Amino acid sequence: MALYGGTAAVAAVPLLRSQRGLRVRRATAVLAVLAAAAHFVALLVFAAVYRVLPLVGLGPTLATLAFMVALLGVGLLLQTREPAVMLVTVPLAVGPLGLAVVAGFEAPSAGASSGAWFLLHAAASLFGLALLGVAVGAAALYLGQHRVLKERQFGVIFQFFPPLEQLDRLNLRALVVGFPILTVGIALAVVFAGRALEPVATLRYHVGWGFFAWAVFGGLALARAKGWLWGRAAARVSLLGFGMIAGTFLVLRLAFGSLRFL
Amino acid sequence: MSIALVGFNHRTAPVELRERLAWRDHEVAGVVEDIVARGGSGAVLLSTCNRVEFYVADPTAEALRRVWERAGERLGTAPQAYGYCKADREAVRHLFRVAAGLDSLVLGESQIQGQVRRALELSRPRAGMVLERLFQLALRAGGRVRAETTLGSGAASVPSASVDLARKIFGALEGRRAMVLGTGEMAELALACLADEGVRCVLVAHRHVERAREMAERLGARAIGFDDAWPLFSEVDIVICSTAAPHAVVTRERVGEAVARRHGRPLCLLDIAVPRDVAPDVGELEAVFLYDIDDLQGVVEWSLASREFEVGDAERIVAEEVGAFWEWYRGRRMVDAIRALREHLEAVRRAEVERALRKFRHLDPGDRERIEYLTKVLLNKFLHGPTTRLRHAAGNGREEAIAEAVRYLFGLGEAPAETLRTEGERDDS
Repeated sequence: MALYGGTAAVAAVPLLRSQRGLRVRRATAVLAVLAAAAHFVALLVFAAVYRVLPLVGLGPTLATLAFMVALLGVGLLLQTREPAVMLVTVPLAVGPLGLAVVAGFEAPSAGASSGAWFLLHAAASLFGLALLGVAVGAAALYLGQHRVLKERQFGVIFQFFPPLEQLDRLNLRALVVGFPILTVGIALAVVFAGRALEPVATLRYHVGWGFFAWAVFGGLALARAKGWLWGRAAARVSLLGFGMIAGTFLVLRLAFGSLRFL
Repeated sequence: MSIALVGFNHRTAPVELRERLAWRDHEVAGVVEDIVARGGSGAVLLSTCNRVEFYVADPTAEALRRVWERAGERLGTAPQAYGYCKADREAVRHLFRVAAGLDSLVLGESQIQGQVRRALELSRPRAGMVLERLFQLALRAGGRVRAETTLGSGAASVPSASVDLARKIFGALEGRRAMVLGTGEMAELALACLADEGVRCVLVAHRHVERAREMAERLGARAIGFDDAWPLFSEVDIVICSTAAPHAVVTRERVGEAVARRHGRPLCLLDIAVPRDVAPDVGELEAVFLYDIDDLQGVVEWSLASREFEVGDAERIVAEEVGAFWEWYRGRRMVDAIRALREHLEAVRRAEVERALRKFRHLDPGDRERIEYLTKVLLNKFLHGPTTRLRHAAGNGREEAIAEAVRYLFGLGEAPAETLRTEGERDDS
């Protein structure tokens, strides 16, 4: 988390000092890669200690989700070469990671879900949600860049944020690619549930939230793919959709924390 | 003084004097030849719209006098009041800063790199080894500054600011389509900058179509009238407005419908006319990004201000490259001294061996070869220590004094070997 924070801090230097600097770009990339690598090592250690992939239990699952978001963010950083990308990626990664730390990384219980179907379901679902995170990050940057371009403010955001259409394309692709992956995850969950030892009813909050997230994500992807939403409207609706998904998760977790949820 | 610079630039001479001083390409070789003929191992003349600089290696006083004379002849007045003189390391540092764009009217401009290269090419027959190396390393310093810093990034002029704006909206500009309203010169300049990035001008619109035709033919575009232009606001990505109209010609009523058909695809509208061609409320349309001449100037100012942050890194790179050149230069001077010493002593050895062998006619060829070999070995032994120390001196800053001492002690470049014979030896022969 310290490395992620350092990455964001270095990425913010140009915005604070109006300094471009190739050194800032390189430093951001190095720190981002180090942070993701450290995160990956931590997940490996969990797997080695508890002999199970970090896809079981709230804490490990959120940590894995955070890692996927961070990994996609690093890919974006290397592609766009704009350190500003990390300013949204880092919070999107550190948020779930912080929640994971609070939830804890205890050993999975004896009755915890396992098996190939479950692991595939979890991995696909998390990756789909990570792509939603990327879409939301792009939307946030888009709104920032759109505002300064429209209001003709040629300051640090104008200089250091990626181009408008690039961000819009990124939002579109992340939604259109992420939704089918999440759908695969949901479908695998159906297969897994058919083989599960415990009734699905005990996981009703999990299942309900999962389908809700899938529906919102699907609506966004469909609207973008069909061209019903574009530009600023698409960015706003993406942020709204993400807020609904994340907000619902938090509410359910807080309200029904004693029940099994992931 | 080993490298001298005499120059005039935008800080020391006003433009009306600089334009008199500027030498054309075909004149450079003659000027350089004239200076080198007065003394010096090489010369290069750098002549641009913002500076004229003479670089002379190992100049004599007469060569420098001739430089000032030539400048004075062009100016028609005493040139010293408008020029500057630098020597040795300062001259080297100055050139490297010039090539890096640190001394330019617009900080970080890249055109100077090509101009420095051109100056060397035009002066090449008489540039000499030292200036050849100096200019090559100056170009390397300029290249490093541009690669390792962002000193040259961002818009430095209003036309190039249009590229920055378009890039921030669209990203890569390859394949984007542009329309020009009017046939103003500034519009053509902006279009030229955009064309360098891959933007195609597809339409030129004018109130009178025939006036648009000439520009359209030049750009490979189609000429249309204004009435045909409004619906096409839905097709193009960039519109540059530069008409002579006294009022706004692009209004919401005229282009609103076409913009709505864009379905959110951004339209970059560059209004570089004064008075403005585009009504301000057109900029309120969702897909439209409208910029006037003040906005373009604002982009330039911000870009130039942010370049200031890169100066520190650029100066560090220049200092490194100056050090690298000076290291080479010092070593080279010592190499010259060592070579001169060896040649001189070798000449003495040959002369003495020949004189001795004339006396020892009874020796067979084998013995003669042995004497020849012995004297060579002795010479190498005697020179080994001093040569090693001379090379070492090149790295500790004492090379100039020691090289001079060697020249003085051995009379290098002055007396032939004959004069070093003692009186008794002369009687023998």
